Amino acid sequence: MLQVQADHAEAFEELTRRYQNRLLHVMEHLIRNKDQAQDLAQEVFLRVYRSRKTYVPGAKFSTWFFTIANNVASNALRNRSRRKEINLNPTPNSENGVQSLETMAKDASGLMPSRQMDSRELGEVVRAAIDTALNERQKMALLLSKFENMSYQEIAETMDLSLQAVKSLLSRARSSLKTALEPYFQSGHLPESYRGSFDKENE
Amino acid sequence: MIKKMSDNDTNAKFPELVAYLDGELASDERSKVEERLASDKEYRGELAELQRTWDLLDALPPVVAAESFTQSTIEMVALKASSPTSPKWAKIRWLRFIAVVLLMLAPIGAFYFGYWNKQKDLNADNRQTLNDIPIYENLELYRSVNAELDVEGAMEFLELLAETETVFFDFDESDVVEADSEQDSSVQLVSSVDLKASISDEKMQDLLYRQRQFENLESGNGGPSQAENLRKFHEQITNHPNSVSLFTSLRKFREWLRNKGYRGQEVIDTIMDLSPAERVAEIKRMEEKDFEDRYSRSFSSDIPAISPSPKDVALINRIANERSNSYMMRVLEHLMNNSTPERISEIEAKLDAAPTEHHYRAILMMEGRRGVRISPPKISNEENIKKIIAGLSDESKEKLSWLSEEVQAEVVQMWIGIALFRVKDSDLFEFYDNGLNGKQRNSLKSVDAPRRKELLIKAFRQTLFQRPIPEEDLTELINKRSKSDNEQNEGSAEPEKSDKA
Repeated sequence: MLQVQADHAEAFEELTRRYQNRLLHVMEHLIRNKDQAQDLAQEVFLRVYRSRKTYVPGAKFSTWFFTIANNVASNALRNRSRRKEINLNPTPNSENGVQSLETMAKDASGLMPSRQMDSRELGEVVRAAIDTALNERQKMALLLSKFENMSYQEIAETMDLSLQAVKSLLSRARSSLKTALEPYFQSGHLPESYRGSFDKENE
Repeated sequence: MIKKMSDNDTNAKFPELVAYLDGELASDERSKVEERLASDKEYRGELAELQRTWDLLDALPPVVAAESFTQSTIEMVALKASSPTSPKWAKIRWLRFIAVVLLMLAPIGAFYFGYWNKQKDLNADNRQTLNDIPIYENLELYRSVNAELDVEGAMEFLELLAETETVFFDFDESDVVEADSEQDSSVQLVSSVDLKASISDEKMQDLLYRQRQFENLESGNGGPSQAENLRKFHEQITNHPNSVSLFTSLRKFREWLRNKGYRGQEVIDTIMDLSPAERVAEIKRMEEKDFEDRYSRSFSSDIPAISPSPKDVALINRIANERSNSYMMRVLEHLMNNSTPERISEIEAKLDAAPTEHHYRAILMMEGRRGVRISPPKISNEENIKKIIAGLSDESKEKLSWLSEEVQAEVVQMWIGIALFRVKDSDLFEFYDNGLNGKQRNSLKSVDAPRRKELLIKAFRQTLFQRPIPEEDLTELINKRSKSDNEQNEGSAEPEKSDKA
């Protein structure tokens, strides 16, 4: 970051590469719209660049970085709710959640046939649970905690909250998520009887 | 299925447990929690579930930025960072603007004085910019075939692509439509007199950005500059008698590269050093290989975590077959009506040689995707999926009930896809009878049943697209078998018939 402050173009490129996946991961799960998440991520990098001189060496960079990200995301979400621009179509790779035969076969086979199918399905369930059970602030705190390994103190700085507020935000978030995923737990890890009907198929 | 909750109506039952799991409790609080954990079963259960929920978050799909994201971010930042938008800067800019206007007004007499001399040059510059606009619009498209480096090579490559109808598999026609509409807008741009009024600010920014890119292209070392090459390429492609099909091929090629995703650069590196003809052949080879791999993998894919109730298997099979049959009919019809007689006989020969219906379907699927480019049928729209689900037994419905509607639709589509692609035992029997020769059948008898099935599936997969069965598979067995037969010295001629059952 110090090199970025000193206007080294290559350092900024390196910074972008290092942080882009982490940022996109948070943005996409928060915003639920791939294109918008990418636009916002670019906005974050632009703001990082513009405010590079305000970064105080010694401060943890990721906290500073995600503080900017949090501001950008909050503004976008505020604008979105103002405009009631609700994304009703969150499935990223198909317009109405319905895929073509071949895409499906492609997905079904994939690079790792069985595992991909299970984890995709599970990923969808978890994503839906996050979306329905958590509000934006809870989501942000959860994502920072889980994927950025931030301490409560760091989350508090990033989101401009008190330590106690972070504690209760995360506690409520994880409790809500647990409740939302309860049906999954109850159905268990998909009982044995659910498996293998295809094996028995005979024509 | 998933219960909706607001921020306020959910109070964690044991709020300290989350902080405990996160290692955020002070030591005295931690001790209290641990004491209670030792004695309270419900408390322990809650902790375990919270931990499990936490672990489930790992199932969220990772997000990986495309290479183009990095590039466009850096370029965007470079572009925008140089145009500050704060009020302070706006004021400075305004003052600067006034100064510029004053400076322009001052030498106005001089301007009029030199008017006739200057006008000619200015007009020439504007005309050039106006002429270049379609090139800015298509900059990425043109550069995808290295037109800035080698005009003739790029043209030859596109001509070959346009002639060879069977190159791309992974191509969605809708992309062309979109690209065409983009192209239309650029044409309007050029013909429009008042450029600024006809396009949005965003579009203007984009255009200016492309213009900068264009102007920053390398100047040729002695030869023509990259910009000149692009102008030449633009002129050639737009004036070509098959201009439309060359543009289509160009868009298809670019779309194909895009579809390669993170492998795109690798692909470009592999093919761009080749001659145009070799390049086309290499793309075709890559496409065939991808298709074959994907197809043959799909029938060995495992069962999804949720499968339909056995009661519904017949229904799912029927739906899959109906859809598959109507698709095959469309492909056949199109092939017969639109191919040369040679190609028709080539396809007919392939179909005649198909040992099983599965092979027949695979061949048609491949032909459908390349020569004809008939998009495979949409399994269903949302409405139809709902109908299918409504027709399922209660047992299957129950299995789906905890999923959201979207996921339900995906699962049902997977069921249908699997019913379509899965190799059934009946396929293997048919293949055994019609796809193997006597020697091969005979050799399979020397191994036990599970190994026999494994080898059969391998051979089946291999022959799907007229590939010979590899040496190491059945041949090895055949050799062993022949050896033992020779040793016995009295081999039976056709014992395999009796094995069919």
